[in-house]
Amino acid sequence: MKIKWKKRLGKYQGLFYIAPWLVGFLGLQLYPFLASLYYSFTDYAMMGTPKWVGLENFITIFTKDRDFKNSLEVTLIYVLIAVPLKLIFALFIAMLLNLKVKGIGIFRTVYYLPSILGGSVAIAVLWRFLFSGEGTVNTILSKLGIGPVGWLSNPKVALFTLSLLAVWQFGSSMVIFLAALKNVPAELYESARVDGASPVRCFWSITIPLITPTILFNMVMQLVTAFQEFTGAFVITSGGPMKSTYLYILKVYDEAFKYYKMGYACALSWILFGVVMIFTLIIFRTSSKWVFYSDGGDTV
Amino acid sequence: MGKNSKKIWSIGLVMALSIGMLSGCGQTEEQTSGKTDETQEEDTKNVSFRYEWWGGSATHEAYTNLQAKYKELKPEVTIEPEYSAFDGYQEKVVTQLSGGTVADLFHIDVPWMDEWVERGDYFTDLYEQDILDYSGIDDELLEQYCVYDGKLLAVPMGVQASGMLLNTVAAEKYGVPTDHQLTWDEILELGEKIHSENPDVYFFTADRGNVLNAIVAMLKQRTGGQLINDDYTIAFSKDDLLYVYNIIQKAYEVGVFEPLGEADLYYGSSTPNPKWINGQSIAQLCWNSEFTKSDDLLEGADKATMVLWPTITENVNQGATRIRPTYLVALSSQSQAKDAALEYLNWQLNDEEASVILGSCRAVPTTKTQQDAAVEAGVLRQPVIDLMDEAYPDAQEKDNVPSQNSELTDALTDEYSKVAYGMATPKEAVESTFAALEEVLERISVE
Repeated sequence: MKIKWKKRLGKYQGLFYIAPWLVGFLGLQLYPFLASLYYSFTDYAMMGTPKWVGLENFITIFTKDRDFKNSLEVTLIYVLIAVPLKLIFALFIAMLLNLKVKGIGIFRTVYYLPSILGGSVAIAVLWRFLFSGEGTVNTILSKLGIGPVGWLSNPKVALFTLSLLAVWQFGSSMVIFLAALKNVPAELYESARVDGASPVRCFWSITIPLITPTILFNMVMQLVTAFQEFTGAFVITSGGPMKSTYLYILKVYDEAFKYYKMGYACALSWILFGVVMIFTLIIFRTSSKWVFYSDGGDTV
Repeated sequence: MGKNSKKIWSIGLVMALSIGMLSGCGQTEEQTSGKTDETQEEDTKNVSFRYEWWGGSATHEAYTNLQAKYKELKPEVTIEPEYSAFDGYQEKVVTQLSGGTVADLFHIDVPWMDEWVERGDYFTDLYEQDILDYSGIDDELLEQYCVYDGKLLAVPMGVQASGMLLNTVAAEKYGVPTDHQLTWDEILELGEKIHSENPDVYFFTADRGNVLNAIVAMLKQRTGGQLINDDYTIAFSKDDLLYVYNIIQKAYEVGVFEPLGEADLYYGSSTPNPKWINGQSIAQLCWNSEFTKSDDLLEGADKATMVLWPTITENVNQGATRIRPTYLVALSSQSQAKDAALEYLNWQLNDEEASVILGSCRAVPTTKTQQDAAVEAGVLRQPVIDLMDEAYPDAQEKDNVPSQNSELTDALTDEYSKVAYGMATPKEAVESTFAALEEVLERISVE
């Protein structure tokens, strides 16, 4: 009897251990995920009962919605600007912080700070002050005889300015790059130098190939984050000027909370999910051509 | 401790944690149901409820002071304040209404009320209680804004009028009259002259909401009634819209309005436009409930004044000013402390001292007792009262439900922005505006 009980206990022990996470996952992730799929086929005004409408939401999005195409385009441009810039900047700073300099620990901490503060509303407000017509940036530029530039008021420039806020939050990618750089064997550089390779050659022929798995990881993570960017556009520009920063998530937010069309907003969210999936799949499919695994990539 | 005992202890702990998490939501109920008579008696004395509002720092200060005063009078009542800027407030309350977590008492902007009442049973019928005395409020005001299907679902805390707020020092410096209602023609002429001589100075700093209000007011002056008819058709003609867009286009072209991209950075924000603070903007288009906030931003006191909202000069069929409740206060139907909340609301609505503490952040109080108390104490600033008196003869018809639809007003905003940014001529924008509005109207009329 005792042995049987112990056997049973052994069988479910793992489940008991992960129970808190499991509850959170089921209640806060899986349920909303599936519920949003159901709502995407309904006319649901948040306040009230959902009414099944089949594919109507999706049809309206693709055929009648005046803002859908624009917000998707704006988001794609934002992703294409913000993600590469952020990765390049993070790698650049990581390389600087990989140098053996006195007090490097302090520099590493300081450079990580923007990532802790970056996504907050307070920083977004600060960004608005910095880049407004009479903000700090234009004041400095005017001393140099340049400008003023409509960083946030010019429809052609505002999205780029918002992208800079994303680039500024480079800390998490930087830390991961730093860890990757530290794993590059020093003897490879030594051998290359003996063979007469320049630092630039070392960077392109040793560093980059050996950190491509990390580049892949950072790229996918940042891509997913960038597609879901909200705070900056919401707080700084509210999607303006002329909807030039009307990111996709801002549209989802407006449809759900401003126009009370939660079902429609869920349909928009599932379309975004599809877009992100496609981009992620493309990156993974092409990764075999540009990602180098020192163990051949067979360990998974 | 043996290996098995360790396992049993660990499992026990994890189970306890999980159960703790699961039961977290039901804690209040359990605690309440398990109370002794003594505790229950104590709880009837010590009561707390939530009060939610939006506003700027002056409003937040006024309401927190008000609630602190009530705590002095009734120490057993705790009011939990929840406040934020206007931007995002509507979305927050919609979510809370939907999730059943809205505060016991909460503020509502007039345009939201029709939509919310239609969507569910979220409000307490104030006709069905005898704690709150609303007899001091004008019956017509209650009927127009708060009564739905014979139920009184909210009460207005104040009445406000739209007007032109002027920085008197800047106005004097640049020769802008501050003693009468200006026409748009006068403003265009004055503004052009001022901006051409002082390129950093604009007549107005106006965000997209202010400009939209200006356009709607002009169109309503032309129609003599509504912006959108009750049958969801457009009430104005293309000629009306062209006339209005020509004014808007000129206003941006000659520097009467600060460029929309810059002014709009402060839309619905609690942070003010620096141009107003620096005296580089002479006027604002706003409600008189916002007078205190804007006046306090200027150096020293009494530097601002208000005159009637600007008027058009051709084909005028009604006044230019809008009058409506500053905000409504409703009691949630889910409230567990209705009596205490109503007692507080009654005090807030009728008490003379409460009126003095609230000052002019809600424009003019709706009850006569409070109006008199505020005027006598000198807390209701004179321009706020004066504008209210002048506004009634210049008032426009109350906005109907279709005219307040947010999809529609957003579509109009998108369209006039094309003129403001110089991306379309007024003529082109008229055509695209009609197409956009008709598309939205077709959709919302069947919903």
